[in-house]
Amino acid sequence: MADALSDAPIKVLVVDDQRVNQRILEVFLSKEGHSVVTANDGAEAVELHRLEQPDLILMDIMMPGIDGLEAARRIGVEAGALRTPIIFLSGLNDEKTVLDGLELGDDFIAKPIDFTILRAKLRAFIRLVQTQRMLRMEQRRVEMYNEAMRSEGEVALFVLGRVLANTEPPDGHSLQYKVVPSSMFSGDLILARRTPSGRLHLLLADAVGHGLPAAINILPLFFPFDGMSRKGFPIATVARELNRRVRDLLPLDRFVAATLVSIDADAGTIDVWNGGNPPALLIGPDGRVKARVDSMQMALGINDDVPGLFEPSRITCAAGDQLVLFSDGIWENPAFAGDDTIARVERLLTATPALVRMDALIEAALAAGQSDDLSVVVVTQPEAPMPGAYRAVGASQLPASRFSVHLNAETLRQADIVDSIMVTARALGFVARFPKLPVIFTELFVNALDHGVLDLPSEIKYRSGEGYLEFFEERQRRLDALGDGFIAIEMELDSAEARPILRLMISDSGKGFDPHDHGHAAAADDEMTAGRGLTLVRSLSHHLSYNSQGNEVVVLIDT
Amino acid sequence: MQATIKVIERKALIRLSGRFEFSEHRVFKDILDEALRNQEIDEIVVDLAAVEYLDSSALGMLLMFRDKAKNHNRRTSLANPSAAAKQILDIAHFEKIFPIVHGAG
Repeated sequence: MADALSDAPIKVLVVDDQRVNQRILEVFLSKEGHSVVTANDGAEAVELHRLEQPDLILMDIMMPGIDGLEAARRIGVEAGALRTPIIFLSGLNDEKTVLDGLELGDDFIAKPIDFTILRAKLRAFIRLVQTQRMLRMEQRRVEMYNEAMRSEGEVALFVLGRVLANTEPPDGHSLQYKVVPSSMFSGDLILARRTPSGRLHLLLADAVGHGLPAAINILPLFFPFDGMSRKGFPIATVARELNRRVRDLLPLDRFVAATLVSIDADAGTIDVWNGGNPPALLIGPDGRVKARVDSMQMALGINDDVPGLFEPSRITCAAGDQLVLFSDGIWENPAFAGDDTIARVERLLTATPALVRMDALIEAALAAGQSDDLSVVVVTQPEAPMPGAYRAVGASQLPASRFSVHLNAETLRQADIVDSIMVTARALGFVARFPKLPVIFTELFVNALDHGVLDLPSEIKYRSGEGYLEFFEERQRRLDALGDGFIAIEMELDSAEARPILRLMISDSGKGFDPHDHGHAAAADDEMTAGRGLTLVRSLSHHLSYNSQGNEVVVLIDT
Repeated sequence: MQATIKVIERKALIRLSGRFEFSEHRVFKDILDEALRNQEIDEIVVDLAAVEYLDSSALGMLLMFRDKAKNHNRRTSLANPSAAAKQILDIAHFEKIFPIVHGAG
């Protein structure tokens, strides 16, 4: 059968100790269009096979020194799986010679050579040779591709490693975490950060799939989570920003399941936002599951950028409670797979001592054969209040009756500064005794910052349409640019009276306003539009007065 | 994974069976394209009754399915998820973007 493949010219190595036989084959093969290399014995054949890399060998068997069979064996050892095809030529035509030839080579032709048969066999072998050539090229391409993949992988691993090197969680909480990647790269990510007010922010994220693409998909989460947590943004704001990033950066069918957690150990509260991950579990010291927060939203990157989708659930926790988060790698794990995966995980965690829960979960998964990335975080609530300026004072005893703080521009930029002050107020027992304090403080502080320090005209807010948004954008711009503004806060307990009174003073670096001028004050007063304001504070407080300049307010709060 | 398609009235019913995961994305894409080429239908239903397992890549493919169908003005829904599929769909909250019907087809 003649076709393009079987007619292509090839290079043939002719091995024969008889010059005349060599010559006959050389002439025949040249006429057929092939190129020819000749060897006089087995040793030369092995050598030329190495040097010339022929496509086909025609090999005499009976030769002095290394004979044809031995030469074929040596060539076979050298070449391995893709050995050059060998056709033996021999005057010996007995069964043993034929069988030996077929074992070490690929075909056998009896001498004297019938050239019609040789031509037919050559065609068949040329097809084989061409196929082998293509295979070899393919093999080389695969090798080059693998090599490129390996070196690209190393670069990616290096970059990811550098970015994620800083995932070490802060001290203070008893926090255990582990990511078990299914390949060189992990599509799971665990991050922990401390906010300026001492809250602990956690992120457990799991990108679609695994390996390098998943690892790349996880990368956009790192910087916003890191930066926003360090600035103290609330978890809902962080989650919304992460959603926006994933949505903007990743392809439509790629998303990231994520659990975001904010732990306030002092207040004993844990805020959890769970988008597409298995439930977060809170386990009591007795091993019982006290609370669980199931997935409440679709994973990051699927939802539109709509507020309200990222509000966390709040659970309360006590000393010794353990919060356990894990990724959905357990889903297809034979140890847990089934209709009741979570129940199985809960049973395991309940039956395991608190200290080794994380290890037990991972060991069970690995023992059963883990094929996806798996990550686990366990945070234990501290037994005693943590040491530190804000936490030195318990709420029960009240050695301090006065607290004052001066906040500079840098501190005012912290998004959770109000929280931080309230942590102190709570530690001093002020909040327990004066429950109205947080609302009053927040209103007056925001007033002092927005209209005092930042000198924002509140009129923007009341414009129709985008006014509110515009206001907040302008607010952020001024806050970022703020150089030397300040807010001073003073809280003092006056228990000399029959009923205890808390005196709260807030003054700011702003130019103030005329409290009797209805322009400014009325705007701040307008509850219908602003939703907050002086009216509210007045109604809650025992007494409220501004200084004449309008940049210092004093409120008396009763119990 | 096996995928079959059946057209009933003006609905294309795609039935998937076996493991619905990333390695099957060609199978899913082909059957989806076949459904989208059919001009005689208004809705594409993906029946998950016989799906033994469904991973996050499959969720990604369902998102792609929803988007493509929308561009072709076809309504989409998921039907009869098996217990294993339901577990994953629940956690992913796909009921927010797909009607999930039971007993249809």
